[in-house]
Amino acid sequence: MKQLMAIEWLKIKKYRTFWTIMLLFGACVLLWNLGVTTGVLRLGGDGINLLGSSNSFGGIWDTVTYYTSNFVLVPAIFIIIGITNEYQFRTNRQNVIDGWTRLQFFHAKWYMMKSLALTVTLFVAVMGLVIGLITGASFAYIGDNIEKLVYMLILCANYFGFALMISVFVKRSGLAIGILMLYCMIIEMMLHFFFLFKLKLPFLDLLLPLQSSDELLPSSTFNALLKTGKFGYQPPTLTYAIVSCIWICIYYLIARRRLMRSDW
Amino acid sequence: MQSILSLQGISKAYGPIQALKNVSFDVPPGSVFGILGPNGSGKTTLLGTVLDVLKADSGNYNWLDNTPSEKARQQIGSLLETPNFYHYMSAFDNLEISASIKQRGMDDRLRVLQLVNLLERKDSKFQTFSLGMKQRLAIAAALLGNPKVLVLDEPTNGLDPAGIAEIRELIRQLNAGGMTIIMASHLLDEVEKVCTHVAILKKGDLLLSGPVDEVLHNEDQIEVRAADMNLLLQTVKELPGIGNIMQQNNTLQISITDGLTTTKLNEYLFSKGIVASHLSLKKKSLESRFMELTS
Repeated sequence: MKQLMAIEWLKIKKYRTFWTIMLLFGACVLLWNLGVTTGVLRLGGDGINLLGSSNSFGGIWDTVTYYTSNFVLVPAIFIIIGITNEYQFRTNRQNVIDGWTRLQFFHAKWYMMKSLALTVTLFVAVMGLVIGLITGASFAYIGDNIEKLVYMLILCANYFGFALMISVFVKRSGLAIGILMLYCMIIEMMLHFFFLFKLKLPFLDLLLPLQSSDELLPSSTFNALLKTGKFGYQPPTLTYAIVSCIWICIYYLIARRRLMRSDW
Repeated sequence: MQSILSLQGISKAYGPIQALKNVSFDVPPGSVFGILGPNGSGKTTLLGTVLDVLKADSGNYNWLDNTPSEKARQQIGSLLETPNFYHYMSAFDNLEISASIKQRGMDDRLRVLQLVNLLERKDSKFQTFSLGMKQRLAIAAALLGNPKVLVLDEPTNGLDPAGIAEIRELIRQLNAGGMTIIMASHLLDEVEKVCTHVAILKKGDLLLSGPVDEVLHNEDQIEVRAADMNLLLQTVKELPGIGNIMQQNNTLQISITDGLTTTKLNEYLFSKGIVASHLSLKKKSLESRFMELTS
């Protein structure tokens, strides 16, 4: 594992696109979260702020994980570019010719995906601490809602694993990014609203790979609105976490099967 | 070691196209083994299969006395089809990735770049290289760690005449040092100049395999004319050591296989009362032999 990751790092560290995407992601996430938690960014009037603002760690973890989850498509796009580049330049073949097994190639990508998910989560954790310092939140309550960081990790792994799976099937970056965006922002969103507002069966979100993770980090404002309506059974957060992990395993198995059996 | 590579009944289809049909042969150690065939004959598919980037439909292969495939590939230097490198990285950094996967020392990179005359461009990005330079870098990557076996698919593609000569000389030197080289090519001249053994493919069928001298042996031809061509034909047919006889433009073209010379033929015809008005020895080209086999 260490050797596979070291070689993946060699590929990434001189890839300017990677640094550009990650810098863009980091800057957007940081500025947005700082703006919201410090109250600089506001939505609403008469003392009501729909974006919310926080001066305790319970609220900070809630806020930064939710808003960061809206940006995770950006590093997911890098996952797609990183994998489809291997197909485009046929370096996946060269890696195998040089002595990797197909499974080693797949695991190298899988570990890279997991590392990126962990890096994003660590970034959110550090950002939360910095915001806590800025807003003067009490560190005595740092553990309030800290499980949100674990949900953040699961959500990232889910989105990135989904992107990885699309990449090994589609092999072309433009098409793979298009499919990811279309599925994530339109198809799943429509199905989610259909289950929620038409069927009033929110637990059906468990059938939607990405939405099952989105439910781990819901918008507190949207949650408050939901409580005013009459909807069917809503599973506990742990169920969404378990189902998200099952989806991640499914991506692993499908992508692995594809890479092991097809021509390269 | 019995053989470097042994193929048993490899078949591979792309949909309705049968790219390889039950191909079997062995590559002896220390040989320069050419895989020869026209475009689309299955050469690259064959190499892709034994390098595990393509999956055979049936059959199997063994490298280096049943060494597990990935371990064997680490001991093999390969160039398959086009040079495959990370376009945003320098030659030196690309070789670092190859060396890491092969589990070879990084200090070998300068040696192989020197061998292919790319040392002065080691820090240039791969995307700035010409086709010939990319091909040289691919050969350099294949040579990392001084492998036991070198697999080269059309190794002189994109090289200028001087580059082609250099690579041929390099192949000869490496083979003289004990390295086994497996080389796919559609260039007969290339095979004739460097290979000791050859396998000939045509539309996925293995037509022949073995030492070059046996498979692509050069049959000499004698051209002869006389006043009475019918008598000449009848007389020549009775002579031992005669292969095919073709009559073209009032000239007999006789393929000879058993030490027959123009002198002996002339003496024989004279003894039968025939005076040859034209008698000449022609070397049959390797190309015409290849065309005979593949057409």
